[in-house]
Amino acid sequence: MNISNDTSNKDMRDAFFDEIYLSSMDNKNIVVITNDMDIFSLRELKTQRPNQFINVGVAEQNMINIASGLASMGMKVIIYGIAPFVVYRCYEQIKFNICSMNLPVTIVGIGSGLSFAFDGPTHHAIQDISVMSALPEMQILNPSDSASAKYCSDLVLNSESPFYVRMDKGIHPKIHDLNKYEPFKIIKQFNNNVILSSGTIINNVIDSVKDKDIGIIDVISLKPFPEQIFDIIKDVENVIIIEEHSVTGGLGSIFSDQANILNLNFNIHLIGFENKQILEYGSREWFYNKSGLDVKSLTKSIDNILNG
Amino acid sequence: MENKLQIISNQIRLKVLEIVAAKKIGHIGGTFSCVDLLVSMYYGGCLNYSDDNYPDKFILSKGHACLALYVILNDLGLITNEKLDSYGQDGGLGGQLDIGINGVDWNTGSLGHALGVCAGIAHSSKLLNKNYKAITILGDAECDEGSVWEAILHISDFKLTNLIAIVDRNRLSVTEVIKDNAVFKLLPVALPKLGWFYKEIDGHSFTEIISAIQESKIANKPSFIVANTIKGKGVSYMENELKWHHSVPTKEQLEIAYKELR
Repeated sequence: MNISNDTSNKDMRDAFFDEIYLSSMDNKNIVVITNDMDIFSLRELKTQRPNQFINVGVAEQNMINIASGLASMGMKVIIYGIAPFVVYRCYEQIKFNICSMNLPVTIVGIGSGLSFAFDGPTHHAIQDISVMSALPEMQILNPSDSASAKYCSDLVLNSESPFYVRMDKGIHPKIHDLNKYEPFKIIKQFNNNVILSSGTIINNVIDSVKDKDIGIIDVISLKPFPEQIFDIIKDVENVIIIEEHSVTGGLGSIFSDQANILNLNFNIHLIGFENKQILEYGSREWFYNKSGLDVKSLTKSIDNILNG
Repeated sequence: MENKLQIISNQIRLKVLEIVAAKKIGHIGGTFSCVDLLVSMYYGGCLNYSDDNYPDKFILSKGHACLALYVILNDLGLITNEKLDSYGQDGGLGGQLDIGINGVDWNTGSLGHALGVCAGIAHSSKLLNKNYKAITILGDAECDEGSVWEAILHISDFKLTNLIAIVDRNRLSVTEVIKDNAVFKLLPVALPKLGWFYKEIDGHSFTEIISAIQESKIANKPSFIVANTIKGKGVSYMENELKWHHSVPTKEQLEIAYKELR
């Protein structure tokens, strides 16, 4: 199979899983497990290395338990499925068998935020960071484009920790020029004000601050939070955190908690989903509009903060 | 052999009882019901725990029976007397197992996980082309967990032959007598049809336990053994009594128990 190194026209999932596929062909100890979800770049693995690809069917608790059993014997296990089902349905299995055993299992939750907007609230992942970040051993990655997704795979394949990778689907605008994994990236320089964002919502952020004197940092590693960021932004007037997640328990909470622990004071503004159930159906854009995450609303909110 | 194992079992029950009496905490009933199973594992050759390269992996899914395992691990020299004596102390050995204890393969405390974990271990045995087994002892009440059934189905579909599940069928949960409920009506019918080696045995007969495990190992199928046991086995007034799930004996009760077990 020909796999292009250029990720600019790749679905984020394929950018990540192409690397997993290639590594799996070299390393027989890599095992991929899914709850019956199709990923284009893994079809070859399924055919060529059927022993290294396990479809457990729609049985997420079992999926996590099997993954942890495999990992305990030295296997590197990558699990993937639609985010809420691999996060909430089997939370105790993750807490107990992966985290309390500190096993190198990576859970890739496909469909960050409202990627599966039309499929309804059961398919939304807007509290996933909140629950995963409560697990002490769990590291959390949230790539924002195909390049960052690709290099997240390097990190998880070469680490011994449990990981949750929050993965969008589809092709998204290129944000980064990367040649290795980086936990965060300044994508717009700043003076007095900075926005921290994460995931593909950053495209709306970029479009909403084009002519403004405000910088943007893309946070790819949500946990551990890259503390170097605190140094870089220590003199700013306002920190605005924009995320496609509930304002409770997401990047904003992680940032605020960590700043508190380090006794750092920032003027923090959180923009995300309210902490309430979404029981409606519609497109991702429609939800953005309703929730203040579309470009127009973001522009207005940011102006209000800057003109404070 | 049978006599020798019986003597070991009684010694372990005695030691467990001494510890519970001294520390005033522990699950005697469900521990005593599976002592003979554990003794068969560690002294009867059913568990290859000391292989240098690829030992069998063992999960005591009903981890609340940990005290019997602590006593066994101590007897085998895997944990020190001091460690055993730390049972019940702050920061010492506790009411469930964890992998910080030498000889313990998995953390316990939450039910319904071990069979799926064993499926993963059996997958690895197949992938690595090795022959180690994943063995677990489950409680009977635990078989209500949906994750146990997810694992049963998966193990069938993937023909994970390096796996043995043993159920300590003592028929008492914390609050109920578990009669032949739907779970235990279904198991003997469903499992053979799903390609499992299925057997019901007397869980206090070493001959039956050991021969069932030997049959399991050559069956070339995943194995499910329902061991019919007695909660509180070995002490007359504890046998089949709900209250001995986690009661502590009085001095008089202890004297009777000592007499019966010696």
